[in-house]
Amino acid sequence: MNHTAAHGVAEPLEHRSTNIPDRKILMWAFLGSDVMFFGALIASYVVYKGRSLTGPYPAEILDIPLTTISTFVLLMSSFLMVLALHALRENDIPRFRLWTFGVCLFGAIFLGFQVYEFRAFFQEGLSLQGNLFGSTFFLLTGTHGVHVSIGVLWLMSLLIGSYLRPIIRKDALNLEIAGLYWHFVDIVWIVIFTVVYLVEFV
Amino acid sequence: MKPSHEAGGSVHSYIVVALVLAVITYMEFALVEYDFNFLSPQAVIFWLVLLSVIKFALVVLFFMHLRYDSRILSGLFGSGLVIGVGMVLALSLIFAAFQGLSLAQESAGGEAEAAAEELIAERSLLERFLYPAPKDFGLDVSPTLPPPEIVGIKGELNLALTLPAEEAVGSEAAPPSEISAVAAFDWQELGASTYGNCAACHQPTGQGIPAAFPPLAQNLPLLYNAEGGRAYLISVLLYGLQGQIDVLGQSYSSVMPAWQQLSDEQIAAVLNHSLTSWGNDDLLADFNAIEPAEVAALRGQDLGPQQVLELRQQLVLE
Ligand code: HEC
Repeated sequence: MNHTAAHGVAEPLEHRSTNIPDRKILMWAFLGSDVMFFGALIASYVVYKGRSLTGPYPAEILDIPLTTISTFVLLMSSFLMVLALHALRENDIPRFRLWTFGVCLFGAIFLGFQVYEFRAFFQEGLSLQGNLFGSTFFLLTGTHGVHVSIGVLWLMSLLIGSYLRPIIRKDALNLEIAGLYWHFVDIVWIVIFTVVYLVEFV
Repeated sequence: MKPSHEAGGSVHSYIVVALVLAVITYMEFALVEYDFNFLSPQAVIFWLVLLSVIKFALVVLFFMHLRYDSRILSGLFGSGLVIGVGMVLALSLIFAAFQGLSLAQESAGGEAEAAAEELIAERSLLERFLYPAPKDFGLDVSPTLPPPEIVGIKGELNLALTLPAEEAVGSEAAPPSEISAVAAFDWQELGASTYGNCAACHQPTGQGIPAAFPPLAQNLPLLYNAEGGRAYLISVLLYGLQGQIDVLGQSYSSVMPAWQQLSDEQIAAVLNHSLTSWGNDDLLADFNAIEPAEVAALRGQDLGPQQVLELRQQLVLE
């Protein structure tokens, strides 16, 4: 616990009785509240499940193989995320950059899948106002997609920042916090994948 | 360099977690994609939920480091999680319990409504959650009244008043023989009870919902009075309707489901009922009740909902 010696000026407020950086607590508090937010969206999906009066119905258009791949991509981006943080803490800057770039890339691939999926569904006639499935599905997965996009932009800004300014210890905290957010987006998708996609085909 | 809250994660453990995550994702995929005959659907759902809970926990505990981090953080996240999950469960329960109640009120008429309410009120919340459809409903309804029957729309809408299979067959099979024996087609009660299928969209008042479901009040007489309107109305029920229509100055562009699964009697009756309710009878030029035979004659044409739209466009409305 001697990091104030080196960069104490950068983080004057880091020492608390909790011994946890404030911003990290803040991020966890935000994630706790975001769980409730997604809880509401998932609840509305579940509650209106199977009550669409007109098609397209979920079982007609959801694509399990495709979504399994995009789920896998997102999970692996989480793996790269921990590697990136690990590398930064070990002061291994090239690896940190490589892995962070990997996270952004995988996140972008996931978004690509989602754009493709939304377009395909749209062509099948699914829309935000057409039936209950469309409304609740697009609201839930769309909100998740926005979270992913924010995560990609955030990590990209950290990556670019690492080229513009010297890397200091605080950057590890920044990356850790961005990483928490990123993993959170991943676990939300784990739930969506099961509730929306898999269960439909049992 | 490493404060204690950063301890605990090694690249080795990350790799193991990532592999487990990948394997679990494949297992989930396999569970859904391939047939495991020895697993019941409930068992499959159980495994899917369990596997995703494991994935969730692995990411939170190891990737997000919560396992090695302060309890305060677990508390912050955990309380959100508990409330979030609680909300999903509570809402599902409430909806399952009350949807049966409200639909029974909307769709059943008169005595049937009272019977439905009584029946539903008797069942505990948990019972309603577990069995949204009262199994024996319909038996209490007086024998002269055909049991209110709600046919699932494309099998999606699981309503409270579904009858046991034999009952449903019985009630559909009985009326035709009775009716062929009696000269006049007695559609009043059958029409009112069949309208239970329509009320969710066109509303019990026949007013519809602006911009979503067109009104049947005031609108049906216009269609009926036009030449070919009779056949058009029957076709809408047999084959559905899709596309843009203008009703009383408001445009609608939606889908009306087909009702082929209703009997000829039911279709004729519900149309007669709608044509004579909500003040519609005053607007009719002259009214001859639609007969089941007319419905039967139009069956089997296999029109699509778009072709029905074309039929409508050919009508000359006043
Ligand atoms: C899922 C909701 C829904 C249900 C249930 C429903 N309808 Fe409709 N109905 C519609 C919609 C939507 C339209 C307009 C379609 C369009 O925009 O092309 C429509 C149109 C009609 C029309 C044609 C109106 C016109 O102006 O041409 C008739 C007649 C009709 N419905 C009767 C019924 C009857 C009788 C029932 C019950 C057996 C019923 N509907 C059940 C949604 C519904």
